[in-house]
Amino acid sequence: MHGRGRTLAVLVLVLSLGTGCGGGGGNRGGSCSNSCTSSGATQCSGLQIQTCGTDSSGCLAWSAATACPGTLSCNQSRNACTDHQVTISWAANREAGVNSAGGGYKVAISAQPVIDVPYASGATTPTTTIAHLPSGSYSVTVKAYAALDAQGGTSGTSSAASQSVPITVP
Amino acid sequence: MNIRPILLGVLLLIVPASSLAAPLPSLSALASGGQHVPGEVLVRFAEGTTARARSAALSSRGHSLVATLGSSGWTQVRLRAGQSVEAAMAAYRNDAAVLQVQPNFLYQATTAPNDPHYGQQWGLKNTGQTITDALTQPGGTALFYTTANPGTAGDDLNLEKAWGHITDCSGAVVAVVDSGVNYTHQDLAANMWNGGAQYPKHGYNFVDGNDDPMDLNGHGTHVAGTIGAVGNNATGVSGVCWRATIMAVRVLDSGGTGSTAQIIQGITFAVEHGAKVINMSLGGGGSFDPAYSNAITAAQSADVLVVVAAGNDGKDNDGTTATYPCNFTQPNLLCVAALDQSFGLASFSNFGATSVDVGAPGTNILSTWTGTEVPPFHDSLNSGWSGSTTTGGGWDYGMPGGNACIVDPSGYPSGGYNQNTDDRAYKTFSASGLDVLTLDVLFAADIADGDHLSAACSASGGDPFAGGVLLGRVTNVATYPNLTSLSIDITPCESSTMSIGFQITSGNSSARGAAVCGLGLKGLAVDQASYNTIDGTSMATPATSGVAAMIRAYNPRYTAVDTLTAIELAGRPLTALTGKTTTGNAVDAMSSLAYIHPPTGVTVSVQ
Repeated sequence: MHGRGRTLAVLVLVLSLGTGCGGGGGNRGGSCSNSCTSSGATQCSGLQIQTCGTDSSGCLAWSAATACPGTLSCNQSRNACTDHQVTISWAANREAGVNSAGGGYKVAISAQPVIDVPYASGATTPTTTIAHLPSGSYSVTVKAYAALDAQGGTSGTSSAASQSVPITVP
Repeated sequence: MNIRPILLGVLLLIVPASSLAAPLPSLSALASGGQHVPGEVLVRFAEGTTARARSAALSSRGHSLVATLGSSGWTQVRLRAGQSVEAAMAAYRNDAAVLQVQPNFLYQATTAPNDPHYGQQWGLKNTGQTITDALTQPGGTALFYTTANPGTAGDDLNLEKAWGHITDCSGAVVAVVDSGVNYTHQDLAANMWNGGAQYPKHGYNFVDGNDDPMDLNGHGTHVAGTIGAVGNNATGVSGVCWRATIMAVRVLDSGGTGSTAQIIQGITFAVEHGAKVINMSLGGGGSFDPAYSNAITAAQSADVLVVVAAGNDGKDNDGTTATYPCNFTQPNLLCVAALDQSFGLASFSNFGATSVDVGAPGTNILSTWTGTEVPPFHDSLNSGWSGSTTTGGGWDYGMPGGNACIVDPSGYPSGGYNQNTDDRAYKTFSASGLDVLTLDVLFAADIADGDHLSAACSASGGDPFAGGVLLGRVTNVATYPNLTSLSIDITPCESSTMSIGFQITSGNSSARGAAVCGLGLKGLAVDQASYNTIDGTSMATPATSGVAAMIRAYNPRYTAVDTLTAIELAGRPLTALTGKTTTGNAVDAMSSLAYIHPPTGVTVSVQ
């Protein structure tokens, strides 16, 4: 990895020397005023994205903003088209079976795989989970489960779903 | 007091050693249709199928051998990942080398206690047995609740499966707010609340204002036994909980009566001393009682579940006359109807689509009893009575209405007692060795205002109005021709030479007079080994309290409302309760134990 990075740096230097231009932003008397510094870099413009590239003057400049592909949107903190981190929390159930081996929660987000939050250790099962969701509208429900079933066996029992919580991911 | 005594007397448990059953582990399929081991089936190959052929049959389906089950021909097979048991079974069905294929069903040991009379406790385990235990009572015919005896197997609290997971409910203190508890009983002593030095007798007595809540009636001890008679101790009966912590709170006297003041003191005591469940198998009709309601609300604030009886009038509590505490509406209050042995609503049980919540076993319920009841003695009222008068009239034997009575005046109901008289009649009786002695009197009285009919007793005998105990007096009454019954605790007068008497005193007035046409004595001797079979919503209530204690002990973080909800929503639906209770459900211990509340408080944040 380190070797390839050095090679790219050298290549950029050679291109600059070849054009006689510092790159991007306009050629002023044979020197470029670059509006961005690294070809291929991206930044957000609202929910859209811009890419750093060589303009018609041979200088580095941000492209026009374009929409992210599909349901992705531009993440301001990452300057990239991504889904969004969604944190889901709920109140702890008080059943012993939910908070012991074989127990836990299942988080259902519409059109997404169910997230299992099993008991791991300690007094209670975690009551928070994180999902990454592309833009869109969703509903979230949580069920609790335990190993004990209503016949006295260990095939498991699940609660009814919690009230559905709607969310919109920008 | 919501009790229908079906046998007055004592259930003597004479148990031959040979009848002490061993523990009864049994195997039962977990469900019809069956729970089974996921990813496995059992395959029975035709006789003569070689090991190599069996292996090939398995591998061709992507399966592997787990075990060959002896010489039975059955092979335990592990399926390929993701394949359902149903699909795997289908894959073998057309194979000529395969005789049978089935799921690898799951079974579990169910748990039954070894208490010798467990077999008569249909509410805990209904096998369709006929309840006969009380027929061992001396002195007469037992009057059982005859409907649905025997009943229907399986119509019970579904406890044996629950006992596979918890039998010790001692983590949840249950207060029995009742006539007290016989804390010395062989099936209860080990399960009583430890009140420390302040309450060495496991509770408090708000009838007499002392620290001894001994049961002098039987009702509270019966209730306590249903909740937590020591289970699996090869003695007597089992409670819903084999191990329990029972707090005895006496608010009803030996006649089964208590006041608002006594009851709210009892509730307060239970709340302040750590009860998680309060059982109140008592009730009364009519008016809303705000002090009583406030006590229930205080229990709610302290996170205490209060389980109460629907009542035994066979009426709709939602109708014109409410029954309290059942009709209180606090969210920590659970009201229970009585079910018979086929899970029909018992004929005497109250109901209410908005007031009564669930049903539980309440007929022919065998449980602990506080002691031996002496069969009633009835006086003939035609001999042995002494008398005195200050005016020459006085008491005499008579036959008003054809019944033997003692009467004043002698021509009763004609004429009248003398003015300015003091007429006394008394008789000597013998009673000893009893903890409670009750006088039952049947009388008619027409007494002028200011004149008095009195009753008294004396431990030393003779004229009880000369230094004895005044039991009661009435004035300005006119009951003739109706007879009135009265039960009076005369324990202070108990002796081998005790006397009981009646007196009319008058001023310048007169009236028809009085006739005592029935006089009976009955006694109770507290012991450690009595049992009794009775019915009532009073009996259904502790069955539910026991399950509540079990659920709270199993789920220590549960609130009172969590517990109530688990009992209500995880109950067994019954047609008999549909439209007659808020849930339509019978209490089901195992289902309630497995119940899981839907999560709450879901929040979502998007970064």
